[in-house]
Amino acid sequence: MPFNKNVFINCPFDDDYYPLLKPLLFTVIFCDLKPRLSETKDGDDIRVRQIQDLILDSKYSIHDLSRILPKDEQDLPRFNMPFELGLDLGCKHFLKGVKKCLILEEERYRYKEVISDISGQDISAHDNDPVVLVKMVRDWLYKVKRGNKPVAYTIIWDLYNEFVFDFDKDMRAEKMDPDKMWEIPFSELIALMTSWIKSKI
Amino acid sequence: MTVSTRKVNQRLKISAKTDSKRVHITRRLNGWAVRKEGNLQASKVASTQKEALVYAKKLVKSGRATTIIVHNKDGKFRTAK
Repeated sequence: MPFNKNVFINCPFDDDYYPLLKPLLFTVIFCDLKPRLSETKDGDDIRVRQIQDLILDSKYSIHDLSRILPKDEQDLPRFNMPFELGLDLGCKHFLKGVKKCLILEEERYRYKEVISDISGQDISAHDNDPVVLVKMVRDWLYKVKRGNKPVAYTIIWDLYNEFVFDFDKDMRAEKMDPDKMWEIPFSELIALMTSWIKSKI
Repeated sequence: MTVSTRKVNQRLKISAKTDSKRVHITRRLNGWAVRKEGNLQASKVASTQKEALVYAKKLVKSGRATTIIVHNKDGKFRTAK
């Protein structure tokens, strides 16, 4: 897979984040790029090495730090996302700016209290709103990618919703439960989204 | 892909090309959009979901649409009557 087309996605893979992850993947695919997630990588290689390979193979990366804080008092903070962001920023430095990365947060300036070293990077707050997320990712990709005629974020968001409807309908037609779509491997979900988008536009 | 996912994939390719007379109501940063399947642009952006629904019902009544799908923020949807 060509380096210029790959987008490394560093985010949580849980039910709570799913309403944001699905439109995020759809937007990246719609912008003619290929999402790369650690879950899409095969083999028994050491996880950190897999992540390093994904980072090295991806010109673009999107890091969502909105879920790094503990969910409740008994929970622990989640360090994987900031750790992977650090790896990517290191790689970006040694590749002398070839790589582009977007950092997403829930609130605009919260990162300054927990990880202020990332100041100066492209940081945007989505407020847990998928419409805002689609707009941010679309705006950033067109800014760093250049060349392509921009499509309004509203068109991407509307087509994403239409995909969700078709996906639900077609899953049910095959006697599958669309509410359990997270049980499909991400590589397959990405393939389904890609097929639908290619047939649509 | 598993066999069942492959079948869903085949169906999705057909669904994507089939523009039925469905009308979708989706959220916007500034309101609610009403868009007919097959169109890229919304026919109307209303300030409330209720207002969008009234407009969509008019499309159904005039025969320009048959089904109204209302999408919420989290990717869930319902069929409106």
